[in-house]
Amino acid sequence: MNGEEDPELQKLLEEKAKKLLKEGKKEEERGKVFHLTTKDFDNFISSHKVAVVDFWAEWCAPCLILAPIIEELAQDYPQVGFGKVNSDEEPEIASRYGVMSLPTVIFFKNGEPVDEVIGAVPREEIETRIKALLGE
Amino acid sequence: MKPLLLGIDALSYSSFMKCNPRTLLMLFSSTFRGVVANKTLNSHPTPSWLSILQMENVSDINSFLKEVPELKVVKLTNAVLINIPITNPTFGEVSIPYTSSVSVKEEISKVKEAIFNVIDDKPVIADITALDRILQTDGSANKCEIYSEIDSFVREVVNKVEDFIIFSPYGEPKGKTHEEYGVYLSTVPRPNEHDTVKLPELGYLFASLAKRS
Repeated sequence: MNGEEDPELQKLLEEKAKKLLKEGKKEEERGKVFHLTTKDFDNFISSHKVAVVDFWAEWCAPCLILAPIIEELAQDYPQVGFGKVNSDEEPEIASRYGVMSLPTVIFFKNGEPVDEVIGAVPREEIETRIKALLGE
Repeated sequence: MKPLLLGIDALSYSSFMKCNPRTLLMLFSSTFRGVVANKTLNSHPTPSWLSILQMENVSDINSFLKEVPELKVVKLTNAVLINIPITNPTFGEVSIPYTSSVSVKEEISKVKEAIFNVIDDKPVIADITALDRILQTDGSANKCEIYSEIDSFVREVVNKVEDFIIFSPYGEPKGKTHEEYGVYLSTVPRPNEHDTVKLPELGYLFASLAKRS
């Protein structure tokens, strides 16, 4: 009997393939900033011990100044979930957290908002808070 | 003194924090600012610039023109064009090849001289292509050095010109296209600051500025 005909081996191979695919997906997601909507926002913040969400809008120039800093931090802190919410497209999420000015970055720990930063701030302002939340 | 519409192709807010261009940051906090949104015409300078100059989206052209048609905003304002990348070499009072052969310093020097020669008498529409040209062709180029040269040029220009719109029709090169968002810094308030600036709107804003000068 060769391996192709062995149902047990076939099952093991399928499971291994699934595992590799899942790991590959996780690797792909490392360092990414996710565009969040009402559909996935709650799941995103609760599935990361520490999550950082950048509230922005297309017309907001300071938001575009801040964006590359968030992307850089996402690369450097793969253990943190980084997301962004377009406040014009997702006003429900923005109003739930009282976002009045843009950009606003909200820090979540275990799904709860614990800190925020308003405006296009230098990288250090955000990084210090991430480190504190990670206990570094 | 007449108004100036100054394009700086590929200038991007995304590099402001990294390159720290002091004059541009000063303008960012002291003038009317906005974001130019260009999601569909950002693969080549010609359709972006034609959309401004014709005051309507021009989407059917994706290369440099052989012949330049009558341009609506020029007809309305009698503006002088300087170094506009709708032809190769560029179109207008300054005409340079759209390659990396001309340095940022050389281009700035020629464009600056041409602007200052005419701005007292006529509205001016000018462009600096160096950032886009060089970033597209030279992966090792020092972006912040180019920003620094452009920033010094902007300082000289805004010290002389009373009314201006400084903008980029799109952001930095990104593969075969560009970032979808450009810069808008101006002495002109916009009707709706909680909206992005569209390319044809730049033509309209300049025309209204020229009309009142």
